Amino acid sequence: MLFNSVEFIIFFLIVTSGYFAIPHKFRWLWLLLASCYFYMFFIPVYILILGFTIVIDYFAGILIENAQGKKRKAYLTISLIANIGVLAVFKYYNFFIENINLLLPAHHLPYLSILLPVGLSFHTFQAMSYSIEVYRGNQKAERHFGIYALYVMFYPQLVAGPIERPQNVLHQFHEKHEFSYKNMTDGLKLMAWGMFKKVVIGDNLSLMVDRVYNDPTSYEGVPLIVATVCFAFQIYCDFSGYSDIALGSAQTMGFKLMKNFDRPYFSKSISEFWRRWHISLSTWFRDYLYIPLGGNKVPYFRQLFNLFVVMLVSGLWHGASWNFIIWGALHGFLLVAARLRDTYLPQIRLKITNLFTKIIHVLLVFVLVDFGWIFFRASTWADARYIVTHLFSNIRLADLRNADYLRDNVFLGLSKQYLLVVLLSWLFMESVHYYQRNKSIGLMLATKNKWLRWGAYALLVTWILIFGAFEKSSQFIYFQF
Amino acid sequence: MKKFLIKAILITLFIAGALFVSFRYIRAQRYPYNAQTMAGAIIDKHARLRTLPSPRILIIGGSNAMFGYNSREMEKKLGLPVQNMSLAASLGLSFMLNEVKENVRAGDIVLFSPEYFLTEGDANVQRLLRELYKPAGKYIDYTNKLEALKADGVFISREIRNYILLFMFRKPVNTDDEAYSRRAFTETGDLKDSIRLQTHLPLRDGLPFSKTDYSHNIAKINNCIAQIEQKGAKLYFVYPSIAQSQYQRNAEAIEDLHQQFTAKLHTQMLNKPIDSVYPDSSFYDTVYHLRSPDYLTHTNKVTGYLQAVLKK
Repeated sequence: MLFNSVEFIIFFLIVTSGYFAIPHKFRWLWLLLASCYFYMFFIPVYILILGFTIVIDYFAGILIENAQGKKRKAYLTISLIANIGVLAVFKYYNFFIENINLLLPAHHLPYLSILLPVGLSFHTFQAMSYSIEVYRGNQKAERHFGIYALYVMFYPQLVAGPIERPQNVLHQFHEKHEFSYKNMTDGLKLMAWGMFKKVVIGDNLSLMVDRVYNDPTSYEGVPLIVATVCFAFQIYCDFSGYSDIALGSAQTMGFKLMKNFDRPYFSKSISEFWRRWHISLSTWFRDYLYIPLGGNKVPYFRQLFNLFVVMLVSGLWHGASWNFIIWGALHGFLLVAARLRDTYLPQIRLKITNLFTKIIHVLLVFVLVDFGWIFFRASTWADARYIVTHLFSNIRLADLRNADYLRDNVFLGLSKQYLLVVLLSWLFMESVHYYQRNKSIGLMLATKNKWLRWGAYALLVTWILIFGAFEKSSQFIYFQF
Repeated sequence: MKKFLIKAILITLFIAGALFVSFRYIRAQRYPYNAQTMAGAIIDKHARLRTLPSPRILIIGGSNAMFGYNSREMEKKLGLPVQNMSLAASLGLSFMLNEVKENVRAGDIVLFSPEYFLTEGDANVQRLLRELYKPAGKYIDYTNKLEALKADGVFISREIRNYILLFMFRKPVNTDDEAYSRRAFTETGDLKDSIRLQTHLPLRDGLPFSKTDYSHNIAKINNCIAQIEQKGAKLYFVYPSIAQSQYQRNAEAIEDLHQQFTAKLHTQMLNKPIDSVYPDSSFYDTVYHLRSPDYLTHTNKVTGYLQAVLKK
């Protein structure tokens, strides 16, 4: 079920009202059934995969807690193998076979005819964090099977995160949440804000991006640049919009999920970007891969190597294709290069002394990140290579004075008027982000006259209904991971 | 909770009411104009179709068929009244098939020329046609009531959006191109010659299409064929006109579709894809819209195919 669908609105109203209507002791069951229904809206049979990992990890958690010495590690290994095994079969098997077949054309190995279960990488990573935290002694094993299943399956974050930690969420399912006017209205506001980002900005920009990226060889120069810049904002609005709706819908019932985005395109370095983009994944890799590899306690060059490996794995996490691996490697290279520069050539780093140098840093980081998005978005390696090599081809400033050229190469299928509306919406979003550097816009609004406040909410919802791209319920980009 | 519920209901009613009132106002303002767009031609096409005695020839399909035929020429050569019902691919396969199922009579011959991408069309275009021509409501396949409700919601929001843009920028948002207006059609439902003679414009819609499994779509066509035959009519399939460059670019996908049609379609195919390929210069504004004089060549070719099957 997509968050940007009528079905979800109906589902949300029923689940949230039901949650407060039934006694606390049955609420876990209500949420679990709702989450199963939510997941089965995609491909029902895939719930069996979830069920499989839930059963394994539930028992693994108890066994890890009760065991001593090597046995603890053995149970953890079983749990991790089960989770990674599911990922390997459903996500990476065909990619692996494709490459083997390329290398050894004489031995044609068969492909699996399967679809990737929605959000597989998200819930397996969340499940793994439970087993690891129990092993580390940071979390007590959950004895209530239903509550543990709910930890993995809680519908707001089931298919695209945030990838939660058991310490943050599990206890919340045991707690009794009374109806709170503040939680309800704050949650709804966050959902509306997420919907605004997704359907008004992200989905409208996707019309422009898809036009070029679905057929890149028909374009060169300006349209490739426009589509690539648009994709940077499309993916941000799509994914952070999803996260806002997830956080908001959980908050209406009194649950607090972790923040996943923090104005990433205002970052002044690549490492800062990764502290602000998909925070739940970055911290997952930090806690469960980078630190176990030695973190900052190993020799300097080993640190750099580990950093690169983590980014490479992060690329592979996103998708089973060379494009994602290259995207991860590119970010790994940028992070390593920045550390080397800071160590050996700190004098060449432009110091942030005023607004101008800050803007230069922000723009530079945006350009580097956006260049990486080319590999992320392109359908094939050949497309990515074409786009990179033709990004600056055939650019003539004089063309920008030609209305037909602008229509075909800059507006990319949107009317001039409509593009202006999308740009205004984007500007509004960025202004809100900028304003929220120091203070919450919610708190600011709370001090205003109630007519002005509710007028603003009504206007936002009306804007979404009128200017949102609802023609086709478009999937969230991160659902494919 | 009571305070919240009251506020939530009030704000929902306020927004829904504002949208509804706006839509009513816009409908009163804009519909005389909307009825003059290409969509309004459905009224004229059906009005003439009702007056024609059977056996008749009904041409259905996307805009390739709207641009690609001269029905008067066909009438002369075949000795049967011809009505070109085609409008646009965005009407969708189900809409076109339901429309013909609803209106066909014993003895009629249906010439079906869909574009290569057998889409289900644009729900908004279908909804607009329903707004302009009530019986078109029966041609839209909604899977359930919620689907129909969603289509209504999206349609209302689109109409308001278009009106706001129109108001903000003081000019029509919808294209006012003569070729895409109700006045561009002849009585028989083809485009007027004066439109076809316009110069060759840069060709749009040259997007690549990939190999797709069309079993589901072909099953729909077969179901329509069976129902039409039950009524005593006959449907023939003909490939759409397509520009040389677009054909070459998608030759593999087109061949794949041809194989699927050959294997699964329960009616006679009058030609092969290559028979409907014309030089790029023969097209008006998209890779599917033939202009003068090649639309006559295409008309003559298809008339020839029909003559051959009618003799049998």
